[in-house]
Amino acid sequence: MVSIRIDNLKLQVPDGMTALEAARSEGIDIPTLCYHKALGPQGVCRLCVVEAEGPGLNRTVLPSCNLTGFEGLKIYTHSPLILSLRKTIVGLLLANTTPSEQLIEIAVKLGVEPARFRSARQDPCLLCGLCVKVCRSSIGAAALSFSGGEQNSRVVAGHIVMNEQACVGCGTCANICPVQALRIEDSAKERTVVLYGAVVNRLELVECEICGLAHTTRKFMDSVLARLDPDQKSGFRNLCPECSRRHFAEALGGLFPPDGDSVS
Amino acid sequence: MSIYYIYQDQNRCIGCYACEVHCKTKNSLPVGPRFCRIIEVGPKPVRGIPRLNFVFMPCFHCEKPWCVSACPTGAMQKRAKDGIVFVDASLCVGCKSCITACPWGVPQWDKGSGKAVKCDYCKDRIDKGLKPACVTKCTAHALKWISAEEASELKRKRYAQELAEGPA
Repeated sequence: MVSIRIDNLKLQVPDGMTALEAARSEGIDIPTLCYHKALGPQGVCRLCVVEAEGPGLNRTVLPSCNLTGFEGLKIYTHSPLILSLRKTIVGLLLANTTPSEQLIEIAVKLGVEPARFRSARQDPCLLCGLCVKVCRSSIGAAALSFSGGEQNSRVVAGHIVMNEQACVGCGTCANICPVQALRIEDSAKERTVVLYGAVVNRLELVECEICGLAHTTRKFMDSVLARLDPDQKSGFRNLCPECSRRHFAEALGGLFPPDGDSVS
Repeated sequence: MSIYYIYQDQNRCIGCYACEVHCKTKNSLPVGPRFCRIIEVGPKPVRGIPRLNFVFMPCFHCEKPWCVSACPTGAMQKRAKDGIVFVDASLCVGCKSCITACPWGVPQWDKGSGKAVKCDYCKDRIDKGLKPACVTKCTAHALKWISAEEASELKRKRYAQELAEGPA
């Protein structure tokens, strides 16, 4: 445990806990767009900046998502400097995208005037990389990446690109995207992945063995099965959640007393 | 298997759905996800009279849960001290692996938060020495909050009774 101070509130926090997590555990609101605890710090949106100081650290501005607490750390989450910086950051995010509802909501909350600059992008993508990271590290598909990555890397990525073959169609990218730059649309037999308003992949949906509901993609079901142990796999049936419950409850329906007139 | 068990006496259950209502209220669930379910089975003719059975379906908190094996982020966990399977919402990325993997259809999707949610036997209540909301508010006292050992004992007794006296 280390002792830190957040806005003059003394706290004991576990080793390795970030300033952002510590503040959130105390109900202190620090805005973020690109942070997810399961994926660790991204440090891209910069909305979570705080002023920090402590032994060996002169008072400076740092993103709290990437600031691990240490003995004697003091942070200020709503100082005049931070509030003014956050406004500038939101202004720049607004300027660099076609603002999403989520960004506008934060802008309104912080009192930022929208449309100070003309938007450079025709989409709401902040290039925060949550989709790229979740697809790579959680799903293990690595279907999404930044343009200009790998060879011939550019300092600033232009957009997100999709590798159709690698995509399993789980939809986690669309779920985790803070600004809905990615969407999933299901029809009766097919799932489409929509990135920046354009269809970037189509995947076959599997139908529940009992009711025929198209409930997930074949590739995602296979990837989930691959994570199960052999004995778990052997009992697996392709059923939608609703039919799974009903099927089992009906198996328990043997609790009906026998139909006969032997008992009066 | 968790050290706890929710036993349902189907002969007492009147299908009032109070368990589901109180579960949803206690867990502040929006429209959609339902942690425990009453599934109507039947009607089937019993001695010439149509009869409906109500099967209570909570999470079984498996010994080796499919959802925990499938979860890629460690959000789905099995609590060491009592075997309760629960989701740490802050770690859930909403990939629905648990929903796809569970053979009983237990993990549910919360569209609003974009995360998977499930029955955790009301572990906050358990930790305070209380019973889960569904058991507490069961109007017909059909649900019983017991240990897994008591469950097998209770089932055996009931089976023996039915053999001796005929089904209820």
